[in-house]
Amino acid sequence: MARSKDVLLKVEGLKTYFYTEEGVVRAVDGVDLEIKRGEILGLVGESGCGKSVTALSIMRLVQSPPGRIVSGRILLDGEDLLKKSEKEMWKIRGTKISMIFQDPHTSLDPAFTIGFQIAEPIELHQVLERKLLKKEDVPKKVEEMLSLVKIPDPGHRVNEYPHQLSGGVKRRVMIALVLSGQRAVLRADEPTTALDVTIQAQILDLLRELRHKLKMSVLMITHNLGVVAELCDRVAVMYAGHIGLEGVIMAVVSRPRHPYTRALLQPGPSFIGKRKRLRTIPGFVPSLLSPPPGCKFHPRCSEAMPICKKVFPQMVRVAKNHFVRCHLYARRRGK
Amino acid sequence: MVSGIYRFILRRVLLILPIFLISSALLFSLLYFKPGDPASELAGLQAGPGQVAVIRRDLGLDKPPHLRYLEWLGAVFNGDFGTSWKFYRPVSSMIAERLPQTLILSFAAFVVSVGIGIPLGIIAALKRKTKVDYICMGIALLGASIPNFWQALMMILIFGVWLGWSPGLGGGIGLEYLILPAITLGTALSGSVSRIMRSSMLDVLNQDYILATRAKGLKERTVILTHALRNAFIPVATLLFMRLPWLFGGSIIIETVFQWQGMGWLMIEAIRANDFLVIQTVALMFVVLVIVANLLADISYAYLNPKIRYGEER
Amino acid sequence: MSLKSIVNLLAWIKPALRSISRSPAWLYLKRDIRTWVGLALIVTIVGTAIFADFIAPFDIRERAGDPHQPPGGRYILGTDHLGRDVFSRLIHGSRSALMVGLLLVSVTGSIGITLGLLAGYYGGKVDGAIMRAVDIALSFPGLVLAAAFVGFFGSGLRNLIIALSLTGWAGFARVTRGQCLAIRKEEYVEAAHAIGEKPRTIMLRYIFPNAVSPLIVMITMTLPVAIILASAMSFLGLGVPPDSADWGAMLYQAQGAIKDGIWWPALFPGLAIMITVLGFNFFGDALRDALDPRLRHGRHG
Repeated sequence: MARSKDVLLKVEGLKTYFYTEEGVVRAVDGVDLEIKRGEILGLVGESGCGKSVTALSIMRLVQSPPGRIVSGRILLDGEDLLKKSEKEMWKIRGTKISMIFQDPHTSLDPAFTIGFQIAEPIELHQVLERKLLKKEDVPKKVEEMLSLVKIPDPGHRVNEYPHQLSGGVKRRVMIALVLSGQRAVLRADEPTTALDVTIQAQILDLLRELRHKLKMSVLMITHNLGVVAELCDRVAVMYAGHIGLEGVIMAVVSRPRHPYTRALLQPGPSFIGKRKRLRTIPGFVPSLLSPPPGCKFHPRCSEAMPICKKVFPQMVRVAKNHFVRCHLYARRRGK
Repeated sequence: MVSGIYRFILRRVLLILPIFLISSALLFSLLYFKPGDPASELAGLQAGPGQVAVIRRDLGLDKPPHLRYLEWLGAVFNGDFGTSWKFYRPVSSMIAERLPQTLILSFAAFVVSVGIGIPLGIIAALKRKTKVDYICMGIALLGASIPNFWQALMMILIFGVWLGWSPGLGGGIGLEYLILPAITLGTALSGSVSRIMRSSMLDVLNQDYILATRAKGLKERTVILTHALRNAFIPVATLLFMRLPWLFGGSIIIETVFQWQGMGWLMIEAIRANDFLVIQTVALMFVVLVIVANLLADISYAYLNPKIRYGEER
Repeated sequence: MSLKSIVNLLAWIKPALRSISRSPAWLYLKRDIRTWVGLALIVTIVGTAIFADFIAPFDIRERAGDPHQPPGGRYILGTDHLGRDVFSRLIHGSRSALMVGLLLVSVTGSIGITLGLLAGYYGGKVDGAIMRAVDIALSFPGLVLAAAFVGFFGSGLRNLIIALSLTGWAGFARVTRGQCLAIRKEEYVEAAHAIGEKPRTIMLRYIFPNAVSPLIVMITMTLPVAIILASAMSFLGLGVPPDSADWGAMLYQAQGAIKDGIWWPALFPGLAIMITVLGFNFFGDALRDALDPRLRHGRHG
């Protein structure tokens, strides 16, 4: 694992639980992540495995009843976000770290024009807080943002309402929303679902370009491995609140170690260039309320061993930049 | 772009006409279903047959219903509502006097209910499921459970008799006569208002775009006051206008108790005097008011909701 | 009722109670304080109504004492303008309120549910016509129309019920129709239709029982409204005979004396109405939340 200057975001032992009437839901149960500057990390998993909650937790946007970040550290540029006050978080969100949400149709306020909504964070952060811009310059900046995400005719689009725009345009607007200002980390929650293939390609191209231009780090949350393969440098696979596997994309994909990843990647390893959705694995996603003991994947694992039912496996390094949480490898390393 | 909202309004207005015709026809026909003979009732026990015949002719009971209705309709559109029997005055002038009073009272009560209910609802939504929420909703429930006619009596008792503030049973027109009835009527409605506001606020606060707005780093205050409220008001305004008819109904009671010279009291007086023409006409006026209120509700919705105001997707 | 049918009834009650006590709705209700407060009030009022004759110390028509005697002594709550005991009349008023309320709810409920079933089942023009009528009836202030009706046809209990029913049915119709529309699409209804069951049978035996739960809530919440409306009419002199031992009528009679500071004939009947209404509203609120499928599960992460 690389050392401090390179690492932009480091998550250690994050646990986010939800306290509901039916019990405690351990949505995120001890997650460690690292993202270097300019790197794109993909966070993959089936629905309900806790990836979205992880992202929300990093930005501390978890709804406070019933959810709570129980423990862990989130180091952004060395500072622990969990120790910050809400007011300090306001300054950090939208400037150092921001999020692109999943559903473009519901993530934009229907009562205000997109121009207004893009201008808001610019005015707040650039003008008021950091005095990097003057108030009069804001409209121009807004149009600049729209051009950056390749929306034609920004001068007119600025005054339109979300319901007047198509899904693809809304998607770009959401990206534009987070571009204003100095972005350190960008969290893109499922940025390409529900879009047809050509638009998907455009968005991915856009993200790649932006990453290079602006030197942003991105945490890409998705269940689409094709996107991950195209765009990400490293990938982490999440299952039932834990990271099961983490590594450089090529390594993971060419020689998947964890049984879960292997199952996800079937039939074959050479799919780079094609878009593949994750296969559905037989069995049910484990309940985060009362998870199975031991390794949480064991009920569905084709290679489960007796120890898997009892002991929760630790993360083990199986190759350079490739870490797996599975008893199969712990044994081989002689642990 | 211009046609969007105006077309909407036009369509609504056109729907009104048949409703108005049907309601007036129904009200009109009530007189014919009435058992007994209205003419002789009106004339009183002492009247001779000749007098009764005169009254009957004046009421138009000697003509078939449909003809009479058309006649009446024609007269109405000329502004002539006939003459009241018991008050010896043209009905239209009575209505002209009383209608504004009812409107003033309703408006004042509306302001009171909104002034109390909206903040209560917002606070309850923001502090959902905490003590504050329960207290606010408790107050709302209390307000809704107090029968407003009783509340009116108690207000007169407390403020008029015991504390001696307002004239209470004044019956005048000035502001001091307005306060008590407006507050009585307004507090009764405020429970509803606060519940509607709270519900709408909660709906909005659960939306993704509120979370997205927070993710932009906007201050919580901005998120709530600018974004949440603006969206929450859309259905609230509409629903509030739809509660106006309830206010009109309440005015019958409140005006009577406080002797406020509005249409509600006029109706009661007419009922007590068996003045059928006035009853019928006042009822028709209320129908018109309700129609207008509904129209306002529709218009406010179209105006506040950008989806309708600015047309649909490309 | 033969002995056999009584035994059958009893045999049915016990398992019915058991299944109710296990239902998720009851589990929710049990924990909600509104249930208990509401039930306490309801039971009090109902009990008072049933046992009125035993509780009331005086006959309601008897001019037992001097007019307008303040509360205290023999007359717990004082006497009214004719010297009658306010407390006794108050007790009997509960009967009047409940009876009128239940009557009104039954009438409006029957009309409304029937129309709602018809609208929901047949759809199309029938539905359109009925729903237009519902819209109009719902938006119109019932009190105004009722007053006009009474103005034409005179007061009294029968006319009161008719007058208030003119618009009162609409709420039931709307809810029933909504339920009907949803249930109509279910498989068992289509199956019944395919078998060739008559529409009336389908509506009564298949659709209605499943529409019952929001209707129960509706009934619980409409009863207090009915009581208030009926009392309001009586308060205006347009309902039950003004001299009755009815809370609304008592308030009507008490109006005049207010300006002289005679507060007791006016305070207590109104308080009684409020308590009754609160009881049903509390319980109804809790019931509504308990039966609402959405409210029972929060949002998970």
